[in-house]
Order: sequence, then C-alpha cells, then structure tokens
Amino acid sequence: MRKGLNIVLVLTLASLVALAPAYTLVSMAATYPTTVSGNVIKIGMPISLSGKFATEGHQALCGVIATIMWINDHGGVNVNGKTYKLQLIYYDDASSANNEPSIVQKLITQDHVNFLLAPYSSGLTSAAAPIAEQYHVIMLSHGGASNAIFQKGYHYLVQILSPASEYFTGALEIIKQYIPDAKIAFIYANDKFASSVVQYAEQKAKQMGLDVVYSKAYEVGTSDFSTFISAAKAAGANVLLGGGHFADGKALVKQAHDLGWHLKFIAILVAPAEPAFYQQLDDIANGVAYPSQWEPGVKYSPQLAKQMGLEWFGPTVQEWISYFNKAQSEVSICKGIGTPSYHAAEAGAAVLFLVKAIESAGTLDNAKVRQAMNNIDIMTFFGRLKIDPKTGLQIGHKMVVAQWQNGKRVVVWPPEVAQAKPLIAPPNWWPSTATTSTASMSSTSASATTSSTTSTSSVTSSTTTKKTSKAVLWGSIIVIIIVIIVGVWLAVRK
Amino acid sequence: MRMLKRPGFIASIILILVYLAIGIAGQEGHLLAIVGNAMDTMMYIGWALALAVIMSYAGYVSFGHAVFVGIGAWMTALTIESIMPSHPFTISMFIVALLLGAGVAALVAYAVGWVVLRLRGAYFAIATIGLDYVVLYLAIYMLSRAGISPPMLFRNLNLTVQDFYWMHFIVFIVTLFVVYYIKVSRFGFGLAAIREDEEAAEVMGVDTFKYKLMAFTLSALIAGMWGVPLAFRHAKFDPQDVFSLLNSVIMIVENTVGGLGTFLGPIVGAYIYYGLYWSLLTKIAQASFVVLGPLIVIIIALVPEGLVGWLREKFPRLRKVLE
Repeated sequence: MRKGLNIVLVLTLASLVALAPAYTLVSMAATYPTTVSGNVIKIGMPISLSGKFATEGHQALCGVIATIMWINDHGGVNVNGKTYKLQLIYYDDASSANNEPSIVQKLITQDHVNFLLAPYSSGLTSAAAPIAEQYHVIMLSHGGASNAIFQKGYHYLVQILSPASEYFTGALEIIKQYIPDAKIAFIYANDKFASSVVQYAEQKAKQMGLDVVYSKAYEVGTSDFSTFISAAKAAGANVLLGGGHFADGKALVKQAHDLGWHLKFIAILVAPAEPAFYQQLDDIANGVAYPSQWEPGVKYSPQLAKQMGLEWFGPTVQEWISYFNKAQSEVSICKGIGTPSYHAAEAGAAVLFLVKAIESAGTLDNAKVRQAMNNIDIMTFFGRLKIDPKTGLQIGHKMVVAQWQNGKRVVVWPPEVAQAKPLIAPPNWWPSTATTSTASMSSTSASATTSSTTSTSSVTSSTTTKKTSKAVLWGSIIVIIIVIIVGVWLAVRK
Repeated sequence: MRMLKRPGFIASIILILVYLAIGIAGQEGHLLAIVGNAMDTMMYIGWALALAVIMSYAGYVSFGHAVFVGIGAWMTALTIESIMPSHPFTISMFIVALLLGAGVAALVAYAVGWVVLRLRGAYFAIATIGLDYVVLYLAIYMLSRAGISPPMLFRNLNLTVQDFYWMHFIVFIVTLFVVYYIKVSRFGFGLAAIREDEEAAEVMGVDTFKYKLMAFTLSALIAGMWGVPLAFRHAKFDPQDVFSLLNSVIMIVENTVGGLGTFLGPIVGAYIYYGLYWSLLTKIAQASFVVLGPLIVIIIALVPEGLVGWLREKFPRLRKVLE
C-alpha cells in the first residue's frame, strides 16, 4: 500500500521537476509571423490578452500585427543596405503589473528581442520600463500616457501617444465655447493615468475660468459609483469628465444615466473609444464624448504632410485600415475585433516610428537607434510623430475629441478636422424640460469607415466570451483530474 | 568548529559560491538570462527562509509576511525620494534603505507580535491577514496624502543588472547565515520545542511567548531586508503589488512544499515554485494559477511533510546530508 503511494509520489515530483525545462523547450512563444526567412528584427511585447485590459490589449496587438504585415509586404526594413523582416514575439501579461518584470526579462534574456513595445496602460508601462532600462533596450510606450513615467529620467523609454496632460484639453475647449453655465464634475480612477489626466485638466480649467464643482477619485476596481454620482449631482454639476479604463468608464456612464443625472456634456476616458462601449450601452452611449488619439475618420494624408513640410512614412489611413482587416481574417488572435480603435492605431504607429529610427540610424544598436529617434519628425496615418529629446515625451502628435452620435463615432473637435459639430445636451441625457444651450444638434456625417461599428462590435464580445469559456473549460478539466487523483489516492490509502 | 561541518552550513557555502560564480561570469554580459533567473531565485529563497523562522521552525503560519517585504520596499522609496533626494546612487543609499527597511519591519513585527502572538494556531494566521490589509490601505492613504497616485515611481538611478545582482547577493548571504544560525542555536531548539508541543515546551522551562516574539521579529527583519533589492530593481513602490496576499501565500507554499522544520526545505521549495512560475508564466498567463494551485494541493495531500521531510523519512541515511 505504502509502495503504491510512493510510486504516485515519485511520479508527481518527477513530472514537476521535468515540467519546467520541458515547457520551455516544447512550446513556442506566440510570434507573428511564425517563421521568417533571412534577416530578422525581433520586437518583443508584453500585452494584456486576459484580465481587465483585454479589450484594449487585443486592439493594440492587432494594430502592431497589421503594421508589421504592411512593412514586411513593402520590402521590410532597410538597414544600411541590408533588408530585414520584422517579427513580433508577444506574451499575455494577464493585465497584472506583478507579471510585467518577469515577462520583460524573459523577452530580453531568453528571446533576445532587439526592441520592445510597452504593454497597454500607464500602470503596466511603469512596471515594465525600469526593466527595459536596466538592459538598455528601447521600449516604445504606445499605451502609457501618464507624464509621470517620463519625468523619472528613463533614457530608453519613448512615447508615441500624446501624454496625459493633453487628454481633456479639447473637451474643455468645447465646454468653454458651447456651455456658458457649465459646472464640471471630475470622477476618475485613482491610477497613474487618470489622476494624471485630471490633475492637468483641473489646472487648465482654472486657467480657462471654468467652474469645477466636484472632483473625486475612486479606487481602482470600484464598481458602484452611486455615492460619487449623488455627491456630484448635489453639487449641481451638469458636465461629467472622468473615467479610467474600459470597465469602470462604462459602469460610470451607465450608473450616471440610471440614477437620472442630467448632463449637458459627458467626456469619458478610454472606454467610449471601443466599439464594445456602444454595443453594451446602446442609446445611453449616444452623446458620450471621449478624447481620442486617433479615429478611423481622421484626415492625415501625404498631401497634408507635404503642406506641413514633413516626410510621410508608412501606409495611408485607408491602407492601414485595410491591413487591419486583413489581420483579422488571417491571424487567429485578431479574429472579430471589429473597427480599429485608437489603441490599435497608436500601437501600430509605434512600429512605424521604430522602423524609421532603425533606417535612419542604419544599425540595430539600441543606443544609436535611440539617438536617431531624437531627430525624427514624420507624418504617419496616426498623425505627426516627434519626441522631446530630453524626456522621450511625445510632442508632435495631436489629439482629437470624438463623440458617439446616432450609434457612430464622429470626430467633433478641433473644428478643422471635425466631421460634425459637438452634440451638446443630448436628448437622452438632457430631457427637454431643461433649457438647452445654444449649440445646434447636428446630424451626423460619419465616414464610411465607422458604419460597420455596430455589427462588428457584437463579434468582439462573443470572441471574448469564447476565450473565457475555453479557459474555464480547461481549468475545470484540470481540476477534475486532480480531484480524481487525490480521491483515488485517499480511497486506496485505507 | 563543529558547526562548520554541518550539512546545512556546507550547503549554504556551496550555494553562495555558485551564485558568486554566476555573478562574476555574468559581468561578461553573455549570461544575462542566467543572471536574471539567479537573481529571482535568490529572492524567492530569501522570502522562503524569512518565513521559515516563524513558520517552519516555530510552527506559526503567518499570512501577513508580505507586509514586511512591503515595508522594506516602502522604506526604500522613502530613502530614494525623501531622505536622499537628487543624490546619485551610492552604496550608502542601499545601506540606509537596508537598515531602515529591516529596522522598521522588525519594529512593526515586535509591536504586532506582542499582541497577536498570544493567539495560537489558526487565530494567529487570521490576525496576520488583517495586518496585511491594514498596512496596504495605510500605504495607499499615505501616498495619496503626499499627492502621489500609486504606484510611486522612483527616479532612474542608472543601475545595471549587475548592480541589482550584487544587492541581492549581499542580502542573500546575510539571510542564509542568520537563518541557519537560528536553526542550530539554543534559540532554535527552543522554537522546535514550541513547534512540537507548546505546552510541554512551557513546562520544560522555555519562555514560549518571548521565543515566539523573537522569532517573529527576526523573520520580519529578514523579510524587510528583501523588500529593498526588490524595490530598487523594480524602481517603484506599488502597495497593491508588494502587500498582495499572494506573496504571503507564495512564501507559505515554498515552505510547505520543501518541508517544514528543515533548513534546506524552504530552499528546495523556492526552486520548485520558481521553476513552475517561470515556465508557466508566458504559456498560459492567467490560467497559470489554475495549474499551480492544484499542483500544490497534490503535493500537500501526498507529502504533508514536504519534499525534504519526505526524503529524510524515506531514506534515513540522507539525514546526514539533508538538514
């Protein structure tokens, strides 16, 4: 009897010990493209494919894949006369800052990547950046907007998207112009990104002479916002600015509506940028605006670049969107993502900026490529890209304000690139009993690119469910096997 | 002199020499992967041995041990950003952080232990969980008061991987010798008596409360030291991260899997845990705990005495080697 137990025990322990090297040898890292012939530049990326940032993470990953696809299709990267193809190696970080240092370490020391793309969100980027810095590997931040990370003296961290200080500038300008009696409430997540955005927005509002009546941060992971909403309502607020990331931003908007808070203007960070936002909130989403790094309807073009005296680099907006769709049909992880959001575009732009820097440096040496980045000033489908040489902060790119109008995302600010006027006091948020402001309720003239939003977003949520249920299935199978093993052992022992 | 011939001491010396060799070879820059992994394993061994003093030697399970690692990280943040702001990195900065981290962690443990060590078994464990949450929200509150939204990021100190390696190495040597000395000292025998039968130990003249309090304070001191290289390396102090209950559970698992009451047990446990974590991390991400959890359940169900304990029981001859 004891002997049988010992055999089981020895087997278990032996398999445990064998497991570690076996895993590293057998299973391969997730890569795109899977195989590359000839010279290759490896780009590493920790990205959230599960957990709270899964929606944004999938977008970012496929934005990168689409861009790499375009580069490889258009002759690859020319380094001092030699042609290189790009290859992406990515791991799921489960949206956890805890995993970030180990994953970055693994990408650098085991996969020997040449360059790194940051994970999504400021919090995760700040966890990954110190490790990249220690190994002197360039990390391009495409989802880390917080200014704070760039004030810490990191040399190898470079920002692609506009920093947090820019997020609410457009929204405040709209409020200043259209809502003379605005009383602003800020309800935002107490994380690196949102608190940084609001800190700068409050300063700016003060400078512009706007009235801020309420400002409060909620802890990350909060799902009940009723106390914040009632307090802001009691303070007489008629404009809501805030949010954090997808899940909390969505819940905040939903609860504000459910609790009958009448608002003339709502601008929420991150969440409304995702097609899933409208799909899950339906009519409530109409009228909700958001600061956006990029929209499918933006008007960046080689002609505009020429007018501004800048070099155009990479695909045009239409070309990039078609590659994004191509990625959806060819790469299994990208299936059913829908229209690209700005999280996809900024990640894709990071690859373009990197390629441009490698080509102008003429080497893969990180120190020299980083040096070359200081002198780059280009126009891409994502807009202008230029960094501050000292801090690595993005100073070339400009943000827009977009708004959900009749189920479509339209650019409403600044006026020179707007597709429609901002919708002030939308009827679902500001019933006719209340006096409406001067702004006209414009009809939408959305571009063709956004028209498929509603139909595709339903696919997004179904793939996410499919992925979750697959994980649950495997989890339960493993648990059942273990219960059987332990059960059998307990039964046999007597 | 007799101590020098003991297996635990010899094992410690071998470990230190191996890590020293890796550190020196890693200067070349070709062995980055090994250096990184070696640094991680040193940290996990350090965590396991820190908890071993109270859990493995004295038989008291503390679910709040991550608190002391976190306090070490917190004190490092204070050192870098408040005590020595705008200084470039010097050894003195590391030493100040180390003294502060270990000292404050030990003080907190002494104060808390003075109250909760009057509780026994499960009640003690529950009280330590409470400690974890109290300190977590205290840290978040203090950071907010200072106008920082967590995580608190340090300025770039321009340290290299090798710098971090030697930081870990120094704390590693201290940990090995302190924990081993506790085990073989008269104090260690007193703790073993408490673990086996607290009433009997009391009758035999062991001042159990004093011994437990000392053990808890010492284990917190070591855990506090480990917070320092961790914070330097991650260049941030993130309360949600360092005060996570998960870290305490990792320490408990390392001890249990390796074998309670032994010196080599926690070290073996740390290697097993780290091997699994590192290999599963990038394969199944979030599901890694689905695999890791049940594996641990199996090990505990099959060998409650832990790997080293089981080997000692099965092969009595090995007792000379496995301490």
